[in-house]
Amino acid sequence: MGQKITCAQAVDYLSKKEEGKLTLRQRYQLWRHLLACSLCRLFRVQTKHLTRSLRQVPPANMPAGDKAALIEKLAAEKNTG
Amino acid sequence: MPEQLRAHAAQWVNEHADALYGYAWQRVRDEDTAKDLVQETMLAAWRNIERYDPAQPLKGWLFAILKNKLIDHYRKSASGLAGRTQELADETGFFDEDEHWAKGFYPQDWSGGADRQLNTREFYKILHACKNRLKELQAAVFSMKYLDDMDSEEICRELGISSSNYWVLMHRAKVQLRACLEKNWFLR
Repeated sequence: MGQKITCAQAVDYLSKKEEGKLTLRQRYQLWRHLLACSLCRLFRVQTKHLTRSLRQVPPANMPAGDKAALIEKLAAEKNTG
Repeated sequence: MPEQLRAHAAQWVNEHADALYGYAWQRVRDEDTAKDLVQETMLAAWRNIERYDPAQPLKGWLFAILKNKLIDHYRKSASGLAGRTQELADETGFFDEDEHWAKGFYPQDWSGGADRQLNTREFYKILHACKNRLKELQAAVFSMKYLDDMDSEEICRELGISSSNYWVLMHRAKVQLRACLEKNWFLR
């Protein structure tokens, strides 16, 4: 059922699969590729992990100096306007 | 009353600047851009205060303005992309001519490296730095997808890019981000 896909295609299919965008045939092709390709299996596990970690990155605060400058800028706006 | 005005401005900044900055900082590639976006957002709100509905939280209004500015910022990097998909796709050698992983770029098993604990401050720092090494638009699609949970159609619409551009950008973003983390964290 269907031709073999390449590693580059498998990487694309993995992203499309997340959105349910693969046809039955493509899902089978991906499954068969992953069964045979340990590199793409690693890629799948690792990127899943990284994409999940992304939202855990603690956000930075605005540096105090920039906040002070912004306050001055806002205050000056209405003084002159 | 300049002093009163300054106090009011200070209240705005002290209450909201960090949250706005943190949001922008996670979504653009450099701190100066994040600062600019926060400044533009607050100035726009400040100048147009008569459009603010005091029945709503100020925070929500400021965030709505920031999000618009962020999309404008992304769109600037997306403009002129049409017809350049091939160029986007061609920029490396992660895969060989048969589209198999190229020799020097085989994904490696991370568990073989030193005991690299995940979810530490340092790990997140490297993750953030690696994301910032992506090209602006790659980082944009990646953030919209994995920070904001948008789907590809919404992202294409917001950025005004084609779906083929989108998949190429996403492909490149994932391959590069993974390789960067491998080199700078897991197997360094």
